[in-house]
Amino acid sequence: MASNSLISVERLQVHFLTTRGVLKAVNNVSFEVNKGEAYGIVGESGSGKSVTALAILRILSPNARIRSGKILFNRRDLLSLNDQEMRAIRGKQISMVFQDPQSSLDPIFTIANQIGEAVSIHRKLVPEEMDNHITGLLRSVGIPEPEIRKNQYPHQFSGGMKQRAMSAMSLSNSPELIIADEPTTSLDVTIQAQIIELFKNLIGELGISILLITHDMGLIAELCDRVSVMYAGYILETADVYTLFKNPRHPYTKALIDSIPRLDLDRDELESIPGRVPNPLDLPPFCVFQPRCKFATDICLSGMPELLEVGEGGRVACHRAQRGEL
Amino acid sequence: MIHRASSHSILTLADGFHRRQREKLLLIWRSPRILIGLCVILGFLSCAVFAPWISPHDPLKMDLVAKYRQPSVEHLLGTDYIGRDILSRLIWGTRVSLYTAVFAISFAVAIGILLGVTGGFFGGKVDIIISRFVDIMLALPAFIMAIVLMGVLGRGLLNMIVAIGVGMSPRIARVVRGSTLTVKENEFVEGARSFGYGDWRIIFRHIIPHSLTPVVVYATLLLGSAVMIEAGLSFLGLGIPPPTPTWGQMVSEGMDVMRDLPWISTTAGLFIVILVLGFNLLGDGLRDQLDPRLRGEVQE
Repeated sequence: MASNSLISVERLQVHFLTTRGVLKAVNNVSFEVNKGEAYGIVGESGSGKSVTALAILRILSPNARIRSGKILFNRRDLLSLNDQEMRAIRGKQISMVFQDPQSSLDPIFTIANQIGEAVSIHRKLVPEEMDNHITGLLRSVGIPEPEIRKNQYPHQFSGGMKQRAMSAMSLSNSPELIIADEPTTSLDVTIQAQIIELFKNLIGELGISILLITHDMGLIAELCDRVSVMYAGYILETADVYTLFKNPRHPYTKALIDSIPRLDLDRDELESIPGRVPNPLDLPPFCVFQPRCKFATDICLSGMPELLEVGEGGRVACHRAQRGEL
Repeated sequence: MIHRASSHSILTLADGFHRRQREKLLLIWRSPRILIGLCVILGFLSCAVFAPWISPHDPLKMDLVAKYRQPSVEHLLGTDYIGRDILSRLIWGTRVSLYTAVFAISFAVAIGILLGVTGGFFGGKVDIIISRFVDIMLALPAFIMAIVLMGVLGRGLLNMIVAIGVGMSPRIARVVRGSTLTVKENEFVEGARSFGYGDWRIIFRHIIPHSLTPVVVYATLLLGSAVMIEAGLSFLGLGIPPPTPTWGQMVSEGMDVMRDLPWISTTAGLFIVILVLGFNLLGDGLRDQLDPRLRGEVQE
């Protein structure tokens, strides 16, 4: 298993120094993405999933501090690299697709210009090769008439086309890992389906690993092999996607899956989770989900549970599940 | 099928965009301020370029017998205290004014962008140091600063360009810092980082191009001020040493005979006023056209 691992995050801890105190955004997060695998991190806003993604590329805002942990990419600890070595990895071995294609392309340059720049950082191509490379990339992400479209500006692209262009840009140096941070959130449903199809092809044909960050359980089910569920900066459950949906073990995962609208059950109201996400400036010293958990007992107040192997192929951070009580 | 339908609608949208772009371009031409400003500047520019061919006499040729001549067919604006043709000196004087203004402001823009972008982009202590430095510079009027610098550096064209440029650069720096703070929050900057761009590459690729619009407008307005400072320095005898003809120096020379031969000072002064007016009209017009907040008003 270790030989197949592409990136392995171990006990990552990211804090933000704010004027109101230390914000604990990511706490003891560990997961592993294998080669050619689509790995999902699911969680609600503010659960620390995007921060985890930015921490991997080390492009966090200046007030962020990576307190501890390791990020092993091809067995090299990214946290120990200097800035120059890190820049050589960004965009070349690991690239990123952002949430809002509207603003992640610079409006004053053509698509070809921007993709060309992303390529030229990592390798030199003669203009003709570059031209062919860009056309090929745009064609591979399903942009019609790439010879014409590549010389257009971002505002001449629709939202879905922009996200395709962004994907082309992230593919431009044949990376081993693409981090997709909510890639479909700002798109409408039919375009979402096209982008999902595109990502499926990337995994299937090019063998690229994808780390998908989303709050959309449907997207996870559609695309991912394995999933981690994040809440208040902790991973509460890690499992392969079938197990997670069929047999969720953490009460939070259960509640999440119950809150997905379903067509096959006749229900008038959507299930919801009572209460609110704890303030990351002031996390409880016990299980972070305890205040909202309907299975909570006294044992849940005895510290945040570790993420431990329970049963087959899954890890859970829940005192009661670990004792086999749930 | 889906592809064809969507690409069709996009192409229509793109057409619409191009039409809007054309309209915007037309609007610039329709703006009388930009048009007049451009005409004035182009007029002076051709004076400067074609000076050797259009000036009726050699601007440096003295004729002590023919000093202080009244305007005549031979000398349209008369001659000065050593018999040099005033019209020819005015025409040649355009060169110094334009040359100094353009190079001083280019210098100011280069320094200003560097300071502003460094402070705005890196923030923290760097920003505090640069911003306070800029504030101190702004507290001194550019003209006073130019006089001081000319006193230190000595007379000469290059020194004057440096003196005026240094005095103007903090204004540009402040504008650039402001727009840098806005531009760097864009997601495409974060995106650029994720593709392995270094800080300076992001600055040159994204931050500076996005800051150029306000810089162009402001620099055009400053060109007018630069012409005035150059004239002021020459008037005070701190500019380019004689015999090179400059407008400020001609105003100063004409002062002695203001009562009898008023056109010497006034024509030179008029040239200064018209050129400054040209730059200001152009700058104002550009600002109105390029500032999205004002564009609506202009169209009304």
